[in-house]
Amino acid sequence: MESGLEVDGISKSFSSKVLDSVTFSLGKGTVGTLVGPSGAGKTTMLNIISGFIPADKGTISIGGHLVERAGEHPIRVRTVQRNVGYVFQDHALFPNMTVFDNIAFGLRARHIPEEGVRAKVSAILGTVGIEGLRDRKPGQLSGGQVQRVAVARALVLEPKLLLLDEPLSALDPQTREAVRSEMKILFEKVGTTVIYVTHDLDEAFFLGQKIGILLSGRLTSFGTKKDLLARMNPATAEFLGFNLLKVEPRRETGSRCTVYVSGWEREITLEVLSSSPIRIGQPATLAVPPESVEIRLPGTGGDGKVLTIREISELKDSVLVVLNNSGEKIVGRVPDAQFHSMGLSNNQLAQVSFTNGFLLSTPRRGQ
Amino acid sequence: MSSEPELELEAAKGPVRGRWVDWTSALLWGFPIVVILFIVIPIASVFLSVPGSSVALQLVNNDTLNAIRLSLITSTISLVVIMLLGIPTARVLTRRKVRGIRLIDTVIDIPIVLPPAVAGLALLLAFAPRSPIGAVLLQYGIILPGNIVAVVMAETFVAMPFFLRSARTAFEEIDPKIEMAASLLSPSSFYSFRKIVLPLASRGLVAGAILSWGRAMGEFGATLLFAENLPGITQTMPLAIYLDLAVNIQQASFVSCILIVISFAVIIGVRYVVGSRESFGIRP
Repeated sequence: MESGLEVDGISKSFSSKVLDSVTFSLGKGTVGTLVGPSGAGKTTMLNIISGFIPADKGTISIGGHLVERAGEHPIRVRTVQRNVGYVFQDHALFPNMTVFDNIAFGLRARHIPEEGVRAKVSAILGTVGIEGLRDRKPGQLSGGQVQRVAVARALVLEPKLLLLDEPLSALDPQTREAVRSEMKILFEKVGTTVIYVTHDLDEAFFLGQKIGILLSGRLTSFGTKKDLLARMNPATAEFLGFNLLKVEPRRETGSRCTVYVSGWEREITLEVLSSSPIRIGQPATLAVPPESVEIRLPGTGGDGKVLTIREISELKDSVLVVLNNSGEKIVGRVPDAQFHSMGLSNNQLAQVSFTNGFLLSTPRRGQ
Repeated sequence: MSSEPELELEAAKGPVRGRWVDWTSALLWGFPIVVILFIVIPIASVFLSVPGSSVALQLVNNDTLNAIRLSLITSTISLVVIMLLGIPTARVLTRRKVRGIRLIDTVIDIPIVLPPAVAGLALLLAFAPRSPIGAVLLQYGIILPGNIVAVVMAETFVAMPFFLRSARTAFEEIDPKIEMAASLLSPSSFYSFRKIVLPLASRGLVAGAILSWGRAMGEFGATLLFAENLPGITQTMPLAIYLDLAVNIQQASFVSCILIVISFAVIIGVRYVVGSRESFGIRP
């Protein structure tokens, strides 16, 4: 597959380490999302790829061309020559120009004849669906419209790589959902390699053909959703909001495994989702998605442990239940009807078990 | 029920006739009144000391016209020099990690606090024929004191910081992301500067230009010491006022009136330019 972007061992420190040996690659035309909490190094990664700041270590190639090499024989291709489109978090439209002039800016700066400018800008206005806004100033646009103009301005130069830094973060939930769907269609239509940075997991999985999880400057996982689940690790599981428990696998029967849960002093049986080999008798970490936590009334049979409900939060179509597990918390997400039929409330006891989970081998010391 | 809070609000607004007087509020208003009178009374005195229009016309002699003409020419040339030097300087000093930036800032601000007479003496010592630079100039037949160039230099020296301050603020107020976006889209940084940075900073630059032009028009001390007071050659309006004071106070008042009108125009100009900044979506 033709290369779209190759990032190899990129490290960057300011006063502390912001990026630590980040390595990933995207095929041409692939949409990659980088997801992580605030301060994880997502924007720094984009700024290094676009050339705004230099890397301390590593190399970057865009469309097969080496644009950044830190170290002994450094290479730094100028930002404007990297052929990268960038949509900033606050969009950074030029407030003194109309929508048309904003989009035309890059073309005019390259001395493209005005006829060509008009044709290209009109075409991209059509692609993004904002033909009617061409004569408006940025101050006269809604949040969703500003976002579309910023994307059009980045795409009009036909970049090899499009970078988007949390472009939907300022939008209200309804607009956000609508623009997100439009973006997915747009990415498919233009076929550019895309790196989309977000802190929203749903957005990352919805838009990304490949998803990277960036935590404290380290890319803990990168790949398709299937890859991520298959190669689950404790850091990624924690970021995804999974419950982590120390266990010891005891018996394996097909896809099911019986594990001894430390602290519970008992065995439970559940379906194992990860493809990594199960080491019987070796300490491991069990990562359980909140949706896989089963909550029942105590004394209704089955395995598990009776825990106290600490907190109940009503969501749109489910209930989030936080249970006290010897000072740690276990979070379960139960369908509305199922939870309310049990009539459970705060400080009541509930029996907790797991339908499935990822069994992650705990690295030995020195590993 | 709702009438009570309304009454309280009404009372909070200030003295209510026939009920009670808010003495604190009344006293507080006394301060701005004193300040305004302190400024207005001397200015009004100048206007009142000028005789009627027919006599005023007689005051417009050659020296007065020359002083007005010279002030307008030198302050405008100073402004051009200030802008040509000031725009790139302010740009370089904005958002760049320049070593010793605080020292540079302090040096740039010196003429604001320096007494104009000291500025004039400093220029004289640096550029008079007896100084090393003046000696070099003398070899080419250039003697700055007593020359119109000295007037421009004195005005530039005292007025430059006003423009630099305003220009730096104007450049700093531009969102750095906008400049990043421009640098990503345009191969020429000058094109981005011309099309994006300059228009976005234009209001601040114009306000700075008006202020420094006004300062140059009113320049007295530095010009007197460095350029001397030669009617028709280096005598600007403030110098003409100084000279007229000894012989014809009406003449001095008349020229002062012209300067006061110019000062008003400068303030109104700055207010108008700064007041309309938000139309560009720039942070006020």
